Amino acid sequence: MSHAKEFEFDGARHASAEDGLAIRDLKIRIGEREILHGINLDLIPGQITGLAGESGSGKSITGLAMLRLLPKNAKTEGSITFEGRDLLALPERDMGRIRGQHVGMVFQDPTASLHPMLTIERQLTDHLRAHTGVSKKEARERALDVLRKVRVPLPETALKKYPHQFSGGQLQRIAIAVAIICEPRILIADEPTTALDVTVQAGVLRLLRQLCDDLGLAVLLITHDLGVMSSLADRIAVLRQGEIVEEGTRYDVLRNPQHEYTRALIDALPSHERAGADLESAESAAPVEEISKEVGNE
Amino acid sequence: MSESLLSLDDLRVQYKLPGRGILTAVDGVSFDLKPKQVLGLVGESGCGKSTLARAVCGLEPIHSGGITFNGTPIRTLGMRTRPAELLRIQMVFQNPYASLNPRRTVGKQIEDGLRIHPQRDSWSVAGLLEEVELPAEAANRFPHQFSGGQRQRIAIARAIASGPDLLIGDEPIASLDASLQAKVAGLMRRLALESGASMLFISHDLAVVRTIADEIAVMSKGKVVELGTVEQVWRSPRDPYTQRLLAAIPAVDGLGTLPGLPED
Ligand SMILES: Nc1ncnc2c1ncn2[C@@H]1O[C@H](COP(=O)(O)OP(=O)(O)OP(=O)(O)O)[C@@H](O)[C@H]1O
Ligand SMILES: Nc1ncnc2c1ncn2[C@@H]1O[C@H](COP(=O)(O)OP(=O)(O)OP(=O)(O)O)[C@@H](O)[C@H]1O
Ligand SMILES: [Mg+2]
Ligand SMILES: [Mg+2]
Repeated sequence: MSHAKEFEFDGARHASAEDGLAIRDLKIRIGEREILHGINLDLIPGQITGLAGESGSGKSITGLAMLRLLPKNAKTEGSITFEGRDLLALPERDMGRIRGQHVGMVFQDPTASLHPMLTIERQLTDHLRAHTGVSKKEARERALDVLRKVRVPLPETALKKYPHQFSGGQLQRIAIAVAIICEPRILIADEPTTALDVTVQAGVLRLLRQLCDDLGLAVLLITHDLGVMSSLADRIAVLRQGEIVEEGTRYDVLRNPQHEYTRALIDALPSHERAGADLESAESAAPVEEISKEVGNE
Repeated sequence: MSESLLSLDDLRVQYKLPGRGILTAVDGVSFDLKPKQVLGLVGESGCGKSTLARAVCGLEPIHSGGITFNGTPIRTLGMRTRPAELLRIQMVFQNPYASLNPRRTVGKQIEDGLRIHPQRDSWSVAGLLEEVELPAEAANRFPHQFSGGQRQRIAIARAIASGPDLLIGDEPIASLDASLQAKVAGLMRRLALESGASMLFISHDLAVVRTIADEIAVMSKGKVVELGTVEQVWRSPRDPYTQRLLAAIPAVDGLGTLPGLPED
């Protein structure tokens, strides 16, 4: 097949995009505007492909296109090949099955995948039972298990709650749970950790890596956070105004960026210098002028 | 203390859980915020940051303790319309959809804000959009026609438009990349200070908060466990949770190192 291509990455493993998903020459136009100008991207089993790029560059639209969830007035060109079939040409019925079962998605807005009026138990188990036919009891066990994996506190109680009864970061983890409960082959994760503090994020990053290694999941990781990118992505593509301006191994892209935009992104990272280092006082670490202080907390 | 703009006194907010459980999401929090001061509020996911912010806006019932804004106690809103006093507080919600009306164009919503600004003509719609790096034609579109990060910036422009005395940002820049984050955070700080307002800036990211706040409060399980100047908290965190927060920041070294996992 035309998209069969060998990749080398840090672990020196070889994998082929033939078993994963291949995007070729993808163009998307919404109304009058062309949002994507012909991009190529491969998702490979066991690998995490990172998609970085500035706000509005087309990252989410790329993810939505893979599930054919674009706005009605969108037009697509090119191909997205999965299991030898072009998803862009598939009848809607087949697409529905692929969406539920083979390709999981964590939306940038975590509420997008959750029904506001159903308990978390229903959301997780309905989905699972519809696609695998497991018993109610087993579905509940699997739901609890996946909530533990994504580190939702008090999973038993969480099953009985509704989406509005959770914090932003808890919802984000539940959205991840919904996306992985059916053990998809492809996972599209659109900014999956933006609402998580770094300690919870560390756990979620480990989980994603583990799913990749153990189940051979192919992941598209969309994130603006280069720290997350550096921890997880095997390869990184950088999108800018609908075009991929740079693509390479994680190490090359982050350590030796070729494109000016990538370099600017890296230069803009907030400094973590002296975090926790109890130095006497050299220069001021934060670019903040002194202002009257004393927030009383008695 | 009359000089503080916002003052929380032993505030408690509770939720009923399924069954008979009760969760004290905000558990005895006190602090004062003065005019022209930026307080960063950090803490792990689920520790009560958004609940606290919503309570300040009158959107959560107060179980005990109190909130005073400009010398007036804040009472829960219920079905009443927002009293004029509360309009001086503007909040950018964690989910940017919640801050925006899906049926009005972006330009119309920013105009709505400008109309209640005490100093008329301080801003124009196009001027505000430019400040958040969006083109002027964005004014004619609806919120759903924007990307996640664009929507966040629109919500910020909308909140700034009305010239609030207290600007609350609940993870307002979480979906922006580092260069935009720095720019927009700087903008929020500048605008707040120029107009004599104060800001409560909620974020899970200590590295971001550090660039714009004067003081940082660290919350854990409903309580403020550490409160100090940015420098103090960053360099010599006293609380174990704060220390873990600093240790788990992923490094951008290109090496695929997973950040340290804290023991729970
Ligand atoms: N429904 C829509 N109608 C018209 N334009 C849209 C629509 N959705 C997105 N766009 C535009 O398409 C472009 C790409 O949007 P997309 O959501 O893919 O950006 P993104 O890279 O995910 O950005 P962010 O990091 O801010 O989430 C943006 O300029 C956006 O304004
Ligand atoms: N309506 C509700 N009913 C029951 N519990 C709730 C409700 N809203 C929030 N909670 C719980 O209260 C706690 C505090 O939630 P809150 O949204 O304030 O957290 P947060 O600090 O903003 O977290 P995040 O960083 O994830 O957004 C969480 O454990 C959450 O599950
Ligand atoms: Mg997006
Ligand atoms: Mg929150």
